[in-house]
Amino acid sequence: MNKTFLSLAFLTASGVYVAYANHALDGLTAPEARAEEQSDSLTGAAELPSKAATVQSSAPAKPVQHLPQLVASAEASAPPAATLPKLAPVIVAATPAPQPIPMPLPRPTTASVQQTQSVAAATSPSGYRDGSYTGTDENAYYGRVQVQVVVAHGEITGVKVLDYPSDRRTSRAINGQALPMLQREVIQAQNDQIDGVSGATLTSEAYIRSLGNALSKAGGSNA
Amino acid sequence: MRETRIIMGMPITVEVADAGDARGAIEAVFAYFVSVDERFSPYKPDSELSAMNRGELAGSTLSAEMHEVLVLSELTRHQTKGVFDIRRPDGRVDPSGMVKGWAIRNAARRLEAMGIANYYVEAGGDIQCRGHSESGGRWRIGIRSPFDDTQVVKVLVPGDCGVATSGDYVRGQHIYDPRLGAAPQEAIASITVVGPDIYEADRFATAAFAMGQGGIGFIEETYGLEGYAIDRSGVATMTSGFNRMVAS
Repeated sequence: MNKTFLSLAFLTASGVYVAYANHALDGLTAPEARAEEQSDSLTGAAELPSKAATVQSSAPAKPVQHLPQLVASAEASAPPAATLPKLAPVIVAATPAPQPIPMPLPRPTTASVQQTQSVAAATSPSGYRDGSYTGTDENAYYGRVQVQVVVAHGEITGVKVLDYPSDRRTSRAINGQALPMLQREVIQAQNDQIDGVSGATLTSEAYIRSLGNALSKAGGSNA
Repeated sequence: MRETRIIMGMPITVEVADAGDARGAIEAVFAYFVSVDERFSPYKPDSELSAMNRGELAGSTLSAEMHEVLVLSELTRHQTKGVFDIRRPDGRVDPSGMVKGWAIRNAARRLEAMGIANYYVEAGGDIQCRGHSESGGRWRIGIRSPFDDTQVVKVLVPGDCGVATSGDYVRGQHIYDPRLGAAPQEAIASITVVGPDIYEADRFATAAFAMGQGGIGFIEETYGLEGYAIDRSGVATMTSGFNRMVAS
């Protein structure tokens, strides 16, 4: 059905994952930290030209809407001040970043924002070799994540998740099982007050690791 | 008191609504998740899981926790007709699909052992809750749209239970590769399972999602579970007792 919907869900989700990943990667060593920077430039560039207009029109606000719960939670806490509260100013600061897609990419600190922007500026025009690069198959806590990056004319033109958190890969599907008569309905957005949300999530750390590995194979100037 | 931290590569939220030392209880829960990560992390070379997959540990040299997870995984494999299987093609064992729900349930048990009767523990979209929130009402749990992660498509008041959703937003990936084409309309986008605790809900949600269209029927047939499966066209199918938990 709605491809645009799906792409938005994915792009939006990617932004959120990067946000989480920034924290997950706080303590990592240099090569892994580079993966984080590369992913920033990548997420900005990871659109198909034909989809750009659609994405621009509606993507930016979403992660911001999505995060207040997290931010609010963090405010109530004292010790983790070193981790979570950084998200709040970061999202706002990142929203107007001059990316091809104005995706609000949350970043942990102001210093990091400047750093990643300069990296993005240096690598996005060129630096990566044309081709298709497959990242490592990374273990998430609830599935596997493997990313493939496509570079054309020195630009990243696509990111494909080859392996995603689903247990389908090592599973045997049950076929032909008769579905009993169960009630069906068309889903509808709800605005009621809630305490929490259940939903499938993609692990940030595995995604970033596979992405960083794929980009290092593409050979960007900072790889 | 409510707090979120990133552990095991995902946001983990704990809310304790009881009077008393909520801070201490929340710290204990986060410390527990850190210890689980140290034991079961596939990234940490010194984790027990890594050592086991290198062949350095086996049988009686494994911890009681690892034993428990391996046994529960095998049990789940049988209960899900072989769909849930932690054995990977490369010969390694990957209990990741089991550990999250198991760890949330253990965290909840730790809170209960401290005398806490009103709590909410969530890791990466999987929830166990009991009692009431700080506002005094029953916990209200939304089901996130598999098509738009800012949208909630159902609100539940499920009582003391676990709520888990299995799905993958990443299947929007076809947008990046036109050759793949659109996913079939009937494919399941996500399935949410409510069970007596999050361990039960999580493992059956994982298996039911892997079953595709037959998944919701499997949940319907499994005692103690209710489910809500959303297909690619935005049509949901629910088990016969599901509506009793929907907020009115």
